[in-house]
Amino acid sequence: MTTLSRATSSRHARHGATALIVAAIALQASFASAEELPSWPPARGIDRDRPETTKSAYPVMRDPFPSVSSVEVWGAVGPSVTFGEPANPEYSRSFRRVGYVGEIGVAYRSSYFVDPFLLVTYADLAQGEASLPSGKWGEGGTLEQHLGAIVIAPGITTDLWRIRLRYGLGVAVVMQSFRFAGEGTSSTQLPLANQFGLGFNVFQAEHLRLDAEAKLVVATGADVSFATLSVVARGDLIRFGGE
Amino acid sequence: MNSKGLIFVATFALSLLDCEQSAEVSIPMFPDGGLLRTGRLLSREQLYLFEGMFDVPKGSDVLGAQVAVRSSKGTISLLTDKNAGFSVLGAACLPDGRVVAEGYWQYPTLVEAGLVRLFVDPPEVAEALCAGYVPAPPVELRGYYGRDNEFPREPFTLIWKHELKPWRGTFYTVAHHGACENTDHCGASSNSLESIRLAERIGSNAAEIDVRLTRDGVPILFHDPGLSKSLVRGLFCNGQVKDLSFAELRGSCQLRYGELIPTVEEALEMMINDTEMEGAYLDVKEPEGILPAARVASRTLAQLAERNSNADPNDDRRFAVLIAITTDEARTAWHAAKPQLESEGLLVPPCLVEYDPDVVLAEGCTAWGPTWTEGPQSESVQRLQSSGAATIFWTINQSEFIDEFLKQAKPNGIISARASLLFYRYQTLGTPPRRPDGTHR
Repeated sequence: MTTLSRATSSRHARHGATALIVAAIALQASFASAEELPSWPPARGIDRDRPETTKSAYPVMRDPFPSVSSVEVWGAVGPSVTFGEPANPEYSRSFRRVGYVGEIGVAYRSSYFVDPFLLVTYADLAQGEASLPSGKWGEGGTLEQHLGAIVIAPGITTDLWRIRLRYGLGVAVVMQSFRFAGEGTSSTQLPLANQFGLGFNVFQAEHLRLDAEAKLVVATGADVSFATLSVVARGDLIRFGGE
Repeated sequence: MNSKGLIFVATFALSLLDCEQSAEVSIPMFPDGGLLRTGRLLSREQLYLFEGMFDVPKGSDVLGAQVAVRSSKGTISLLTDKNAGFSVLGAACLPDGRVVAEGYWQYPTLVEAGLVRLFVDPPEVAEALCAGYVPAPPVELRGYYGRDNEFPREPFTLIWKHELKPWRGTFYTVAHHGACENTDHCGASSNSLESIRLAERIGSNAAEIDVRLTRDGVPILFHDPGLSKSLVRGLFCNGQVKDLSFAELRGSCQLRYGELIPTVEEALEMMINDTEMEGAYLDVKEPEGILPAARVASRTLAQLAERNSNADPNDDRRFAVLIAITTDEARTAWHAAKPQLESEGLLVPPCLVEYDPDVVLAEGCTAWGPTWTEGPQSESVQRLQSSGAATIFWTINQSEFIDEFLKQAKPNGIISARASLLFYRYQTLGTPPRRPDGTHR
């Protein structure tokens, strides 16, 4: 029986996002016990739930993240993997869908449930070469293909102990370029882009935090989806309140 | 887990809900190639024997109590209005003297299909076919049908009742950008060569195709301005059609079921050489596409005229190409295109006007193509038919509306994504359209 199934990149995106959520739940559960908490030195010795004048004989579960407000900036770099395949296997000569991303962002961090952020991401997503035979375009030759994106997205983030969850909804500038028979062209699209991030804080000092973050970006309107694994360096640019 | 985490995870989960259902498309095939593989295929002339209206005393569950049967190159098609279903069969003479017709049936809007195997009855007719003759009707087909990939076991009998009403060169069942809509499950992408071939097998004798221009001015078959995932696939297949050259499109894009995006030239050549379709309705989506599309149409018709004028009458072929004028802007582009074509030594191809019957006569066009939403407009249809112009309504897929337009307007054709349904309804209650002298064919 001949069976044709329509597997779309959105299906990959759903599976990837589901995996992110399951991982978040598992990691959160693994830090449920107060006795198992790592001993983070808080940035400032302020107990979240107790006034300064009240003392207790029992150990206090300290929030590892400061309870004062701050403007946080970050930068991130890492590899990316783009979902999808070249359309014509008989023409495709080489194909790379592992690329790289660089990102900068700013967030306002406070004691509220979620914190807003704004980020800009540049992604070099995929590259390919296709061998075209002679045809209506003239002599055959090599068609060079390139795909990249710039994502500008506001969003919200929250910290669950050492886990940082992020969701952003913004605009992706999807850039596509070709070169064939000595002529290069490029075009852009502006679809909406959803992004889902799951970060894990691996190092924290007074002015610097390092995370490992997995992220999924889905630009539905352009049918472009990619995942990244980045090292994120975060620090407070400005602090408000507290010491 | 604290409540803060639960709420955020729940929010993430809700944001990911996607209700899109992706159905599996399955075209059943006999695993060993079936009995056709062991026999000698019937000739084209012999397949005409099977054309007619058939009663279905056994097996009416699948295609109803009556079917219309028509033939095309290598195919016998059973067409019905039950779920717009159809059956596509091949026929061959077996070594034991029997004649088998086997293939599959399908409902295009549902994910339901199955295998069919029928044998020609009475034996004298099968004997005549295997001897190379073309016997006259009546003929019966007796056998079985199945569901999904099961071997056919349900009794299925078709008994020839009477001939078909005139339809070749008379009434046009025009396929709406190929055999199926994007939401159907027929296994072929709209505006593909494969879809146009399938359209003939499921009842169409003409095709409406959508035309757009690439960046370098090549007219291709494509409906939307953008390369959306509902129509194409390919990691580098993004953006607007007009932003990609034909080489970039061909090298980076495939249609949804893996077909290449065809040019208008490729589609017309295929329709003329590989099918018995009688015409193409070019729905040019942009005014700037009128001249390139008309140029391709004119060259194709010129080649066909040259072929028809040679000494071999057996390869004569009748085929019409209509350039659709859909708006006033398109009409302006048409006015500019005509002298340009003539300066290139090309004949101006026939035209069709979609929006105003008076413009049809003013422009000297061959046909009027009104939208069905304006109603049957019987008086305008009759007026144009009296002047020698045809009327082809678009796009009607529901049986009640098809019936209404067939009975009231008596048009020359209808564009439909339900070719099987339309052909069947025309055969059961349609009237051949009026000639210019007011009589019916």
